[in-house]
Amino acid sequence: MGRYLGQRLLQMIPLLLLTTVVSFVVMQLAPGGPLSAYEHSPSITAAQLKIIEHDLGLDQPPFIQYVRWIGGLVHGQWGYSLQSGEAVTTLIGERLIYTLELVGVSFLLCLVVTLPLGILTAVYRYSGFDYAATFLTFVAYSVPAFWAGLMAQLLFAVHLKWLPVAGLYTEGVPHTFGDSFRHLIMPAAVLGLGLVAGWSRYLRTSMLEVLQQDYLRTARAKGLPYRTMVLKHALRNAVVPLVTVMALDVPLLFTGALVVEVVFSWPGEGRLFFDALHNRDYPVLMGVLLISAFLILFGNLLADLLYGLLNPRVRYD
Amino acid sequence: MTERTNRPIAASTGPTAPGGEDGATGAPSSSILSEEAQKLELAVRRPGFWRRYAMHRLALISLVAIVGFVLVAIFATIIAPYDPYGQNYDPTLGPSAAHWLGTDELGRDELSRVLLGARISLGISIGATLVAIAVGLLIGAIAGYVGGIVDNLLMRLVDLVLAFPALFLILIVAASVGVNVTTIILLIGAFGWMFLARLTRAEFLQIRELDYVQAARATGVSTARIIWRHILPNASGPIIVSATFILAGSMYVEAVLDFLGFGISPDIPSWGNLLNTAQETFYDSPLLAIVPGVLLTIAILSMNFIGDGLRDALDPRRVR
Repeated sequence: MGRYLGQRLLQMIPLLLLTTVVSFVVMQLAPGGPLSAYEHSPSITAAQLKIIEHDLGLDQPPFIQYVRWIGGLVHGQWGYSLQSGEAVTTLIGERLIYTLELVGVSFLLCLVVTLPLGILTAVYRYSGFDYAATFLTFVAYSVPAFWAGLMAQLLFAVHLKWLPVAGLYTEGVPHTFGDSFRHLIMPAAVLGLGLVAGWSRYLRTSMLEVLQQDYLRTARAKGLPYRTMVLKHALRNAVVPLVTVMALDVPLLFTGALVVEVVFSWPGEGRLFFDALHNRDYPVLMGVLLISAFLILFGNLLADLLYGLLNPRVRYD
Repeated sequence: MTERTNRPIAASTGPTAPGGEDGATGAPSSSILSEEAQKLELAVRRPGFWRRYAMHRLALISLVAIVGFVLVAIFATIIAPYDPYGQNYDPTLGPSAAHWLGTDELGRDELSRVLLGARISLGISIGATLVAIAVGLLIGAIAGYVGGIVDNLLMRLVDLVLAFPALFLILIVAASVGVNVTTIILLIGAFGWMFLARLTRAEFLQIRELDYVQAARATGVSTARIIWRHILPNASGPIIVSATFILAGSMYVEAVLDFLGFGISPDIPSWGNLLNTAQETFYDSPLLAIVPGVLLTIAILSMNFIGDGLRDALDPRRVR
């Protein structure tokens, strides 16, 4: 296991490096360049532009810029926002907590809905409930998150007035946990829609497969209550492949957060990325892009490792 | 499809993954025989395939819906009651007999714009899907057929592209370069081919070892012809299923790009753009935000159901 982990980590290094190269190349290819905002500014002369260019190292050849950039990356120096001048790491760090909050709550919400839904649709297979749930999961999977967000705002905030439209907390009121939670619940639910659909379908299929196994018939024959059989014996085995899928999907939550954060004015990484897009703030864009790429690679690794840990039949040597 | 000619009719219930019996009948293609064989094959396969597909009711309804969308897309300018670009009316009128969906913030007839939106959204996503299929098939076929170091390199390329959140990269490119209809098709297609490539590779790896392919190779059939005529038709099932899901995904990505304001020109009434502008008049005329979204959801939902139905119909052994 330890050796396998080491191998996998080693294999990740070239891929990690390549992701940095791609991020860098994408930024280099972008026309206009990082200083295009200043080019037509009346308050900046061509000479000043040259000085800024030199200060930022933009007059160096791309390869040198890349090496300097990657050297900085390793030392936690991710560059400065062209817009605000703040360090990219600071900006990302400030926003991280909000994204984690959103993604974490969304993940839990998904889990709470997925488990009963997956189990019940498998146990009551081909029933009216199963068909209704299947249809609804397909709808949840297909509905574009940004539109679902708009509709949720329209229904729950504008018409029913149950929940606030958007934002992190109510302005001008002391921050309370309840207030924050009321702001969080709608974006978290919208973010989780697609995942709940995928996960519950997956759990259903996996439960159906497990429920046909001989050892469960044996357990039933020996007098084990159906409930215990499903919830303990079957679920444990059915959930193993689901855990892998969940690990693979966590990065999806982070990228999905982009659209949800924009719709709900949630000040996380996605919102940071969106604002940086408008300003062509390349250091920030590169930072968020790289973080996401790392997340995806580690999600894949985690999925592999979890699969092995939970499934004793997998051997690594 | 020629290689299935001598299969017993009973066994030919569907284009399942090629089994062992295919190899025994692997005759090199002969043009006359192959045409007859294709007719026979279709005659035998069709009822089984369609019956199985039709058993998936939602997939059947979805097919009708998509055909409807395609017809609307084709005839959009004819059925539209007004000029979708004409700013001829009062802005943000509510629904009325003259304007069923009211007018938008610039006084354009919303129904006409929504109808034209079908053409734009469907057109772009179909275009992007074709690009993705072309790239995915090419890379998957080469990797699976050639194998060795080429395979290894191409699959690492797939890993690399998959390591990025596609939406983020697309957004960065779109925000830096700006996009029009052509470039958005290429851009979405360029990030949609990876799973298809993996799938195609897996199918090719398996099929290229079958006896009938070896026989074709031994009789001097060219590589391109082997790939195109002998392997691809047998790998087509999973590829078609995958294509429907790519189409659904492309439609979503296109809508997101437009909605976020980094897609095609906001003047063009794609459903994503209509939703973007509807945000401004969200409280006064929510209908502008509801209708394009409902249509978008129905279109994506239908594609997913069709994919699901095709998968069931093409692989009868799959447990549902």
